[in-house]
Amino acid sequence: MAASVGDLRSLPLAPIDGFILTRVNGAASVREIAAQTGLNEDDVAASLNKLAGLDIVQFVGEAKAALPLPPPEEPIRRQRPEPPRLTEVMASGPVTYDPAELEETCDLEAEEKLRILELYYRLDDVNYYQLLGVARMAERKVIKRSYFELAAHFHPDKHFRKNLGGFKQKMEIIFGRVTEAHDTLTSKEKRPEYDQYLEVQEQARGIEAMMASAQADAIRAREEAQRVRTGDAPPQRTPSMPYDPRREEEDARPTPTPYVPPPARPPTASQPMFNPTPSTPVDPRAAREALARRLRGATAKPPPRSPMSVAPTGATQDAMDALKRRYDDRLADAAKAQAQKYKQAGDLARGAKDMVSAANAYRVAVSFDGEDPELQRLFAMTQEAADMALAENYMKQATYEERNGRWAEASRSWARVAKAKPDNAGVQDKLANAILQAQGNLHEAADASKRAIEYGSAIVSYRLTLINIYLAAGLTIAAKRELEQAARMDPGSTAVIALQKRLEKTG
Amino acid sequence: MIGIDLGTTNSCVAIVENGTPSVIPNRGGYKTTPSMVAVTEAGKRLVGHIAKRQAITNAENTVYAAKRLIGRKWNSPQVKNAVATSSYRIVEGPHHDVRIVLRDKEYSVPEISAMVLQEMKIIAEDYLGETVSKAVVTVPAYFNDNQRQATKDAGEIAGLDVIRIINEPTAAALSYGFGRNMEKVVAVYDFGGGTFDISILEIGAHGVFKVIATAGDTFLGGEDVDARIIDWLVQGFKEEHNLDLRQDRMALQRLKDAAEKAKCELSSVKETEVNLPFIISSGRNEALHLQKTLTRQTLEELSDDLIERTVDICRQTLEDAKLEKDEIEEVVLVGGMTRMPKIQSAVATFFEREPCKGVHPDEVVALGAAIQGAALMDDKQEMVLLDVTPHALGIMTFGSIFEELIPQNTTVPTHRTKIFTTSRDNQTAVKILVMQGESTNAEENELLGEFILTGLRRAPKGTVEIEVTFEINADGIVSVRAKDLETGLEQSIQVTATSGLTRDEIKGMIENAKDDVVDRRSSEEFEAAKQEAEKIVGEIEKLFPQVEQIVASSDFGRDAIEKARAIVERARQAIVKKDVAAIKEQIDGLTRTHRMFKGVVAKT
Repeated sequence: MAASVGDLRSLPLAPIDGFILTRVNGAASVREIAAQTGLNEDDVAASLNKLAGLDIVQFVGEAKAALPLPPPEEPIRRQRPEPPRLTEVMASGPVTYDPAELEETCDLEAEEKLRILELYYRLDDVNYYQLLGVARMAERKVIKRSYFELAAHFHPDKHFRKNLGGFKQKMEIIFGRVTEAHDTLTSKEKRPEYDQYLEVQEQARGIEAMMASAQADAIRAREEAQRVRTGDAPPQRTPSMPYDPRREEEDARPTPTPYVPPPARPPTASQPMFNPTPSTPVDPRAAREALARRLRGATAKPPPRSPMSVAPTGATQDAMDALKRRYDDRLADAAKAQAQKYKQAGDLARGAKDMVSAANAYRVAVSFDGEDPELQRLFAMTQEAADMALAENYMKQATYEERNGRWAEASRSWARVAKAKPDNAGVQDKLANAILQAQGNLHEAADASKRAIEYGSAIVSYRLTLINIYLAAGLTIAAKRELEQAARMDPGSTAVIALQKRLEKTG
Repeated sequence: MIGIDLGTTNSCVAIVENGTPSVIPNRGGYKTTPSMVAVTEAGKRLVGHIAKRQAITNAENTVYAAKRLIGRKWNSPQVKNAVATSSYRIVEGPHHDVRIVLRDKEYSVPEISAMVLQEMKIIAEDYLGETVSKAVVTVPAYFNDNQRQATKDAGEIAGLDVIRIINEPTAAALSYGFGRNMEKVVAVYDFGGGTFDISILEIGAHGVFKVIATAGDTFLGGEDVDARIIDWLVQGFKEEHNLDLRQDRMALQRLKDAAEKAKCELSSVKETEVNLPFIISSGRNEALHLQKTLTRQTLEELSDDLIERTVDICRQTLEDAKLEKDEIEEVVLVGGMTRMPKIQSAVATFFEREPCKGVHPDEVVALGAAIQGAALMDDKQEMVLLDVTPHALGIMTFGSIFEELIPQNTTVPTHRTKIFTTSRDNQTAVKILVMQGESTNAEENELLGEFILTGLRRAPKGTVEIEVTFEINADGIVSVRAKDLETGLEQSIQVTATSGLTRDEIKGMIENAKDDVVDRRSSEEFEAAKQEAEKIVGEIEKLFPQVEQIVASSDFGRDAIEKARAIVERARQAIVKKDVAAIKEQIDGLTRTHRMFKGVVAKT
């Protein structure tokens, strides 16, 4: 996989695409990138396809066909139905079904059974686009065609009056979900709503991934700074450097490069890690090759060290020391300069209200120069703002999920919100309730609920949540204790009275 | 494997041979057979043309349009209407169902329909030279589950394994789209002898026929147009001779025949003569003749409101399908009534498109049934029908409110779950009344079945949670399951038609069961949210005077007070509107305000 960079800012990229692009190095495979980024392989593949479509990356020595592509235009009707593409897309993960299920005797071919099981147990992990095997921008027509193919395949009438055993219900459930996907994605009202939900979800993932990458960069930067101080080998590589084609001519040493300020942009787009060069039009092919060269060169090629088989003489020793000092000084200067450069990038991003990018830049800057209190302060401030933005994002997701009765997902989203707003009682209560509804880990639910009560002690309903959690866990005594407290706070509440009666009966 | 269109006035049978669907003519060479059954004086049973021919002389023992009665209850207005206008005798059966009396013997409606189905089976067997055991039978799309089940029963009585019941307009679409490799959105306007249906379908790749929306009126058809003509004739005769022809069953049957004939003729000519000599004898022992000219224009005036009703249903269905008129790419006309020029022009005007002329309105439904049968039995056939449930399904909740679980026009197979709760204290059992219909008032919907979930924990109302799951499988069979979430106790039924519970019975049952049904859970949620919000509002209001005194001197303080008031007001409004979500939204703000107020007071 190789990358070529033109004017990236003008391209319709999402944060996730940008993040993935930072990991394209001319050698990593889709799977490796997925492993590095902690992202879903399908997402990586989809993003790379998008990038390839925009001529930003190129697949090198890797079969493009192995990636899920939007379905090709095909004749309306084929003689023989082909197996849906879907399973190819999803076959990459670990087996999630019980192999014993494959043994069930029924009138289905083994291959078909496998397809049903694989899809059935992944229904909750894929979004509607992935389920239908279509691109995000897919036209209504394409969605419909894909749906018709899947619906025809999984409709139980395909095996009318055959013994399908437990597979019949699974097929009906798959059919139902596929139909739901179709109905959502072909509805003028529902699709934008769903897209928004996915966007919010991906944004959050992208932001998180960027934060994680910045963290990794920061660690690397710190190590380099360490090396500089201890006079170790010169750094091999800069952390996700802003790309500037002018540096093509230079060597890989970290020399300060003037930061070209990005134009102010809306806060949603966040790729300050890429440095645009609007002035130099780039021939995509040449740039691609150049970049591939650079990236390959920049990977891990250690500088040649002279063999030390011969002990140096005194004079040469002195000369070497002097040389080393000079070299060290240069490196120290370089680290400071790097810190300044990232600070500038951070300032700019902050100016553009892109707190996530700002926090990332400051984080790297801090790792180059940990002494500067101003940098520390800026980092802490922007990081908090970024966390808040992310929390808002998750709140939207959680609300959509709750509305659609997806409690397990909602509990995960609330957990993220709670992480950013640990002292918000309402959020903790929401989290506790979502876990309870999802029939999740009741210990976690109780913990969240207790926090809710701690921060919002005046609110009776938070206690009611906790009581319900206790009851669900069978902890009657704890429930009673909590209920007494609730009754003291609001003796007239019908909910409290109802619970009291309920407990009396069970007690 | 045969496909049978069991029509109100005529029936038709078809098969698929070597991949080609075709209609099987009866012994007389006709492709359709009248859905009429008679018993002669000698006790001989007659079906089809033979029954129709002797109808005038044996009106009291000749059944027509039995389909209008199938699966209906004695007390329904439709049955009342049929009792008044039919020349044969309709009586109440033992289960409040409908029985038809022929030569002093009572027959259930499925039995009568079975005689017609059997005739169709024999026609196919004669043609094929072998026995036929499996059939796909069509019903109007708007038939409810009881009517469908009764039709299935009729097939069984006739010795047929009815492998699937499908909707008439859908069948018509299958026949229209079969083997034509198209991607199109099609509206099927089916105006038959007894029922009107409109279905909007999408025909797509891989042989998929997906129904988008369907609706209709099961008591609106050619028979109603005939009745209008009869009314007009009877009225005219009364004015002239002061005699009511309706009192004479034989005269009524002759009128019916003449009306139908006149209606058909007026599809091709502008006027026709209704000539019924010796229709009735006057009191003075002298025979009177009926002779009248009926023009197409008069007929159109007589049936204008009926046609308007069909157009209204079309409009509603288009809305349900969330489609614009110009998104309909083809309009297919089905049913004998669509031969009427006024109907053709009304449809063309509404859809702004000339209807398709390529299908035979009397045969297309049977052909579609045969095609579906062949597709089901043959794995290699690439054709799948994705049908919808024509009526909403749900249960009755506290206060006779119908709580919908599966909405109208949901693609089947499907399943939906909702959680309910008990409606009174210490309720140990709940009655789940499974209903079908569109009204939010449970009493106006059709009761499909009921069962009781017992062994609930004694607890205050609203605390025991019951999960109700509805499932419709590909065969259209509805099953309902209720589960006590606490104990895991479960009860379920497969809904098969209940034969004959009347409105009154349902009402009585609803009256009795009022305390025993489940309640919507949301009310409890509202109560809890309201309590919580009111509690905090109370606290805030207690602190208001104090806080105002403390902070009134600063701009910031006044601003804060202003904001606090706004939040309290929003919360109050949400409570008035019973908007649970809105109340919950305000609670965070209320809490913050409360905390702020407490902080202000504590500092001073």
